[in-house]
Amino acid sequence: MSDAALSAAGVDAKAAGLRFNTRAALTHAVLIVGALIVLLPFYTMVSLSLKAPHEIMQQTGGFLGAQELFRDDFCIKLGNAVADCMVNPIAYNYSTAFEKAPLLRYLLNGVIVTVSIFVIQVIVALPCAYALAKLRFWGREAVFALVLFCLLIPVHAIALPLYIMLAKLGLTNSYAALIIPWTISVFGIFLMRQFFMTVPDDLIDAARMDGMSEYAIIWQVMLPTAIPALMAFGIFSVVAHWNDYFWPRIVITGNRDLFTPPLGLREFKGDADGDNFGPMMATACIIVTPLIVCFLLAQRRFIEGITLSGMK
Amino acid sequence: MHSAATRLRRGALMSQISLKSITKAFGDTPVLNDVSLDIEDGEFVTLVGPSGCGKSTLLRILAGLEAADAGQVAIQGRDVTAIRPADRNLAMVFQSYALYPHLSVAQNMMTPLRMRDLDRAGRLPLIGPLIARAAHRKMRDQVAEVAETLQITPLLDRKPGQLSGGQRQRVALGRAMVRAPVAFLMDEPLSNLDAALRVHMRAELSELHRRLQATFVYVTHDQAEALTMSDRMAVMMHGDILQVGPPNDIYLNPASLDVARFIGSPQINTLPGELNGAGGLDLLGVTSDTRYVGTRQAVTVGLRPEHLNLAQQGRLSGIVRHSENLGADVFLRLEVGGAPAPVVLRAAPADARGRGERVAFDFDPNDALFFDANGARVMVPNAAREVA
Amino acid sequence: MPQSRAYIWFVGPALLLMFVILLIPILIAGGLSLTDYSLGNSGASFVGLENYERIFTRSTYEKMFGATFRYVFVVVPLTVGLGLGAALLIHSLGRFGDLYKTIYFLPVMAALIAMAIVWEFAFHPTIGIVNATLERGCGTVLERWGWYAQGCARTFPLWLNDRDYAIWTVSFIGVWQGFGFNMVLYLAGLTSIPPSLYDAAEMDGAKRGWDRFRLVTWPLLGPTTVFVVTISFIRSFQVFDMVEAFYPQGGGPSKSVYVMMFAIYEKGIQQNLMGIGAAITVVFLCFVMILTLIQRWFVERRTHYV
Repeated sequence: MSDAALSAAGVDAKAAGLRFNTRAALTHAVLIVGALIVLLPFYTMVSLSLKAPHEIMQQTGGFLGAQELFRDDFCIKLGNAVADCMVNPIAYNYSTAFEKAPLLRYLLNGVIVTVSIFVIQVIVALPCAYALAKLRFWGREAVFALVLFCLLIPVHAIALPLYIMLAKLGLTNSYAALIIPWTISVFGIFLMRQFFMTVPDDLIDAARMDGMSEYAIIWQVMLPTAIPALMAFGIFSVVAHWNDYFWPRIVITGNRDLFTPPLGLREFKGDADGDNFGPMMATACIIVTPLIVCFLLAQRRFIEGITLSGMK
Repeated sequence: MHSAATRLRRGALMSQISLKSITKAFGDTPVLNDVSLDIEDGEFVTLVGPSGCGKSTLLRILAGLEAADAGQVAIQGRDVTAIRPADRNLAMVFQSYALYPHLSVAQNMMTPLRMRDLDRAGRLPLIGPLIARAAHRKMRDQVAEVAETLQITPLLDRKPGQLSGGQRQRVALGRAMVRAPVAFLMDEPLSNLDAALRVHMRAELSELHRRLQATFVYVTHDQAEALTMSDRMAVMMHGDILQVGPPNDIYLNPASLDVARFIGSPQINTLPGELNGAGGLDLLGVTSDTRYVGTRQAVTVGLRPEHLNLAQQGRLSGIVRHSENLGADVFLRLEVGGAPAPVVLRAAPADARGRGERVAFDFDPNDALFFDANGARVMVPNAAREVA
Repeated sequence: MPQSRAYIWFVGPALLLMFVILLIPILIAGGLSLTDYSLGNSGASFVGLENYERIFTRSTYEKMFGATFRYVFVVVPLTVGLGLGAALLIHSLGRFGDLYKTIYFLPVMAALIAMAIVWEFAFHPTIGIVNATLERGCGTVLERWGWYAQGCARTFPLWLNDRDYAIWTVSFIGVWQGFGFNMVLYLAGLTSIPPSLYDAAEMDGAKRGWDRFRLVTWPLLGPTTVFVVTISFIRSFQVFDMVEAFYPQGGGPSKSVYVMMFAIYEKGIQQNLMGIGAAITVVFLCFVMILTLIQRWFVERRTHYV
């Protein structure tokens, strides 16, 4: 079905030029239909965030919405004059999104949490990976076997006991609760170890002879060589934790200030009555956009990251 | 073995392969410039040249894996330019062997037969063998026969990953042989083997060719392989075929300086000289008195290392800068006044000299090859010898 | 290699965290599953295998297994199949395929909770685009199809609020979100197939695309497939976001979407029945671990190539 070698050879092309083009055309057709389905929710999300409530309900207005001023009933309820309460849909949706809930705060939380998790993961995983890859010590095989075993354990699965432990320590509703369970990334250890094993021993011996301590070797010799793998891992980690809904949902129960972006959106939905689709979609847009933009800017790195993590 | 050879011979009657005016460019880079070559039935033809000369591309165009921008490919008189590789009845041995890693050796060798001789039903994984029992049996026999010829019978149940480089190479050969194709195409099949194995396989391939009496089209960058194995060789450079002929011809009678330089190791010595119009050759300040016919002209003189001899009374002298002792021969690199590059000379081990020594040497002018300013071979009649 | 004591500091933190965060909780879960503990109680009483008995007999949990398995066994084959199909198509386009690759990967990047909410809107029975589009087809030739005609006559299904369709709709969203990930993995696998194998296949007479697929592509994608399938299984077992967003209470119309992770959440956190929650956790862990071990075993055995 797919072989670049032959399509490049073009033997088929010469013998039946039309057939070659038809195949490509067909491929494009199928992929385009798929792309439409895939993009449908994105289209809907952006479009609805630009529309006025009545347009949403009646499904009119095309993609951008008619952008007519509409009457904000809530504003009227507050006792203002009708004339003062005509608002532009986009402004209304996005400003409500930021007003109804401290979205900026949530975004900030997202950044704090994902960055902290990643940094701590690196601090914990990198030395361990180095030791497993390059140092000989009693119990090395056992530790690695343990790492392999822990790879089988999805952290979400053990949420309950973790929650109890944190509750007993009084740490629920805190940044600590959001971050701690993720500080150990066996996947990161595994990935880095595989990578470190490809670094020539000579490099490390040279550093030792230069008088570097083992600790310095890790951060000044191994880390620079592992940048690609680290970036891959970083992307993996950031995406997973920015989008994580399950764990924050369990651990953050009272304190709104600690909501991560997914929680913020959920809260919005929770309060939503029919009129709030617009701002809800605006919130969704705001939450989804950072990662998408990063992805579009650094596509190759992202995809490299995913594949690196896959192709152990 | 007998019937395999017979089968191959029968299928190989009229195995004339003809490449006419093949031109190919990849994007803006020209790779083949109007190249033509005819290959006779049962010949061992080598396409030899440095990397990038277009030899692999030419082979792939012959196979059908690439399409030429212009030109014609004909096999046994039939124009196959527009026919896909699978239908050209050629077999190819790849540099990386390209064995299917998930199939056993026997299954690898059966694949071409399965594709050709079985229909859809016969090819189904488990029930196929039950449906087309006779066909399967015949195929297994064919595979066994070829395996016997190549002495890989004990390997039939192993996977390629468990084989050594030489064994894999034989399996790749077996996969090609099993189909009794019109011709065997080989793309640098020995370059992934270590040096000793390579020399051994050269002899084996020649022997195989003799036994099968089939047409072999062989691509290599190693001029030694070309010289030792071919019936005829085509020297290629920069997308052109510079010379086609038997190895001896190419070695003793190169058509151009490029060919003379590429073929022969160590490389031929090229020195500036002059035919002085009075029948003599002026070279490095020494005049050889022969009876060259022709006017005065500046030439590049080519002398192979074995044509230079250490001689007490030698007319030329140089200082030994480097000495390579290969056991059977010693090659001395000499710094010679008037020579733009070190002169390489072959000597017997007993006559080995050390670095810094000054040595005297000489040559027989009849061994000299002459080339003009463009590198083309100049044939200078020698009245003394009636030899052109 | 010199014997250095440094390794203790390097490995220590990781080891400690592994025990505290990964291993001990499993033991705790195991232990709790044999009790009737609730957070806030001072103690707990041992109830033996009562929790497990409940899980494997009560109908609620039957629905839990049903929902989970339905979801998993729809989402995994579809995400793997679509991922493979998309990868093959995109790979055949060479450089022109990059745009599609980006598009198909977008759902993986977007927070599922956000996209789920959007899908919920799209699937809304009255103001959603899905039913709106379906309705536009009323009165055309599509009405020949029985199901369609029924929808036009009465109403089209309620999708997420429809007992018969909810789980499949949720599965659809899961497939939408996940296949791009598998596609990327398959693309990497495809590019690692040496092109000379396709040349050899052509020389051997494999003329049709299907022949080349069976002879070269599929076998050499073996390791990738094993990985993709395992990852897909594990990810799909952990489905939660959508379910909690759509059905904060109860797990769907008539509990048809009452998946295991949600059950753990509901029983353990919402209802504070830690014993049962822990028991479900243990069962869940067993599933996941067994699956992964099967994958490991498979990789060792079947894909032992060069």
